[in-house]
Amino acid sequence: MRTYIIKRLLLMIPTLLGITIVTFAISHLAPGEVPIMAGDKTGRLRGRITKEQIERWRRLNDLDKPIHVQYWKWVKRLVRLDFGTSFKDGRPVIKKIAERLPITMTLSFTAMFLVYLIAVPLGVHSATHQYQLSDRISTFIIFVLYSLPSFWVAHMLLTYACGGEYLNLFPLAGVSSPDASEMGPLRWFLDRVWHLALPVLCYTYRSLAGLSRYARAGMLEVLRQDYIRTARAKGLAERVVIMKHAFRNSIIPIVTLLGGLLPALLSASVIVEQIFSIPGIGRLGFEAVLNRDYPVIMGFATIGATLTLFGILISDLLYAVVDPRISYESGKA
Amino acid sequence: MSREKLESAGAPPRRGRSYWAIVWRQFRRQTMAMGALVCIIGLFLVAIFAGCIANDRPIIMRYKGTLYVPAVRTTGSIAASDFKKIEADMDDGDWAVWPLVRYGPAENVLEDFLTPPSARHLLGTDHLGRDVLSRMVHGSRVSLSVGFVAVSIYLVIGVIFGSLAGYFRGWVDIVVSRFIEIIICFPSFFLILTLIAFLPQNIYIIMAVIGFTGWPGVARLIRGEFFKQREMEYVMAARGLGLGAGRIMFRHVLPNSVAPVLVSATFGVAGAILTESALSYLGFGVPEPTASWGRLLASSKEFVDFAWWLVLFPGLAIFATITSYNLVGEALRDAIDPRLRQ
Repeated sequence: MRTYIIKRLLLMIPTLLGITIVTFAISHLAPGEVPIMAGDKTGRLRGRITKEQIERWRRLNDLDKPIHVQYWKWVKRLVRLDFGTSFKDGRPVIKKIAERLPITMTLSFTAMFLVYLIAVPLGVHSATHQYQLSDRISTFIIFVLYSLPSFWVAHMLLTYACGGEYLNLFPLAGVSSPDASEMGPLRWFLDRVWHLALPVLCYTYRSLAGLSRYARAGMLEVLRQDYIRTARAKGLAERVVIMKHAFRNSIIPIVTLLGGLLPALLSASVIVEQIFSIPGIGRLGFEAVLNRDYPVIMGFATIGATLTLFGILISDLLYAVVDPRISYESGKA
Repeated sequence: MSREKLESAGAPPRRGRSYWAIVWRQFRRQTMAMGALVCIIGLFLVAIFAGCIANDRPIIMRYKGTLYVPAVRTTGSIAASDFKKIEADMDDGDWAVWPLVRYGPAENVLEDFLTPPSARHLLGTDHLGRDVLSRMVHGSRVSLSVGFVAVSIYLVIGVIFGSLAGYFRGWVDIVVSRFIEIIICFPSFFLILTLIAFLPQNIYIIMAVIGFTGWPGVARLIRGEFFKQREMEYVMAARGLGLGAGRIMFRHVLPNSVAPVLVSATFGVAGAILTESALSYLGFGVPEPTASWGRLLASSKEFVDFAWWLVLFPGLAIFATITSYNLVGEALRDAIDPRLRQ
């Protein structure tokens, strides 16, 4: 196990380097252009900014240096977790990301929790009732949900459930009511739930399909095993066979899916937070793209990718922990 | 004994069906998936003949004694003219065959803007007085071609990288696996969004960007299949015959590993269509005045409180297309799974 961890950690170095190179390359795709000018769609600023100002700005941000020097300087700062300052308001990128991270994490983890809570029992039920009506219906519903574009669903929910001409069930935007600071803890919590219900719904419903499919397939696989037949043969109740013997073994592969969920949720946050006006990092990233705020874009991409890399490592290790049959000693990586 | 049985009893033993014939037979049993396949073919026909289904000019017409095909090209005396005027000006022997929808995708009908569905405009009009149905017919071109081309691009990249890693293993595998890991770690939609925002806005860039970011899944699948296949006897035999690595990889191993990739490609097309429409929805898609489903949805943003037809119909089109592809993918996955074979 220890050699495996060391090997994995060593292999992460080139990957991390690759992540920084890709990030750096992307943000230098549109060279020579001053971001504030690019973000200036109306052309209001075009006449007002002088050549000298642009030059000074470029010097200040090292944009006049050769590209490899720029990259090296950026990486050196990265190691100290210094992602530079935002072009937009001059505040440190790491601070901007850190203050917006909690709300996105709240949304993501709630969604992840709900996905597992709903999808795993559903998959198990489908497997134990294979080809019966309830299996077919749940498979069909989940399938339809999977094919619904989340931005469309979000848009429709916003139109038909958040005021306007139709139903007025949920708030239109934001994470809490204006008077949230004066509420008691319980009311504050309920207010939060009320505000985040629709965004969480949009995060959750599409991921149900993948996970419940895995749960179903895993369960079917286990149910075919000999020891299940043995358990049934010695007269155990069906419920015990399913819950104690089959279920525990069938959830092992699902653990590894946790690592892959993170980039998907971050991607989803870019769209959903934009539509529901939630001040999370997805929205920060989207606005940074709109404004060509390179330091923020690079920060978002690097941090997102690095977190995912560690997420994958952790879920791989968890896999070994929960399933003692798996050993990484044989040199297979 | 029935006639059929007699015949098969007398006939020489039937030759084994080919792999794809078996898969096709399995696939055909699934009515939903067959329906979805028909839908997809229908959509492609709509996309190919969009100009003949919805246009502001006749498909074919005789005007002042000459035959024109205005839907394809406009020349001579009808070049760049208003066909509604021409129609009023027609002589006795002239005739014209009009498309089903008599509005062009970029045609502004000034007196009809933001009108709900009616007999004049079956699916209503947008804020610039353009017919929604016509725009949807033409928008299918964007969605279908982006889905198809983007996935083709990443299939090629994924197959090449995956085969190399799976066949040679060792340091080739380590390098390719790092590449896969790097791309997988990025939140893909954000990566695509950033690239699209920084590059010139056109449909080919969108196809290329989705293609170049989507290949790791395919590469991983192919790599895994190659790991399994390369230990088999036929590979050893091929090597024993002195065949080169390229020939073994692409002529012998690849055809045996391609089935799961086909499944993932079908889902991939659905994903690419979804990505394109999400990009268009956020304002980063194919530029105006080209019609696309996502852009139609985006144009409804300012009028959400009443213009339900701008929200509903393009969304349904995206949903139906994605569902069709997913259904086909699902059925294909079952069809190639020998455990489910009946």
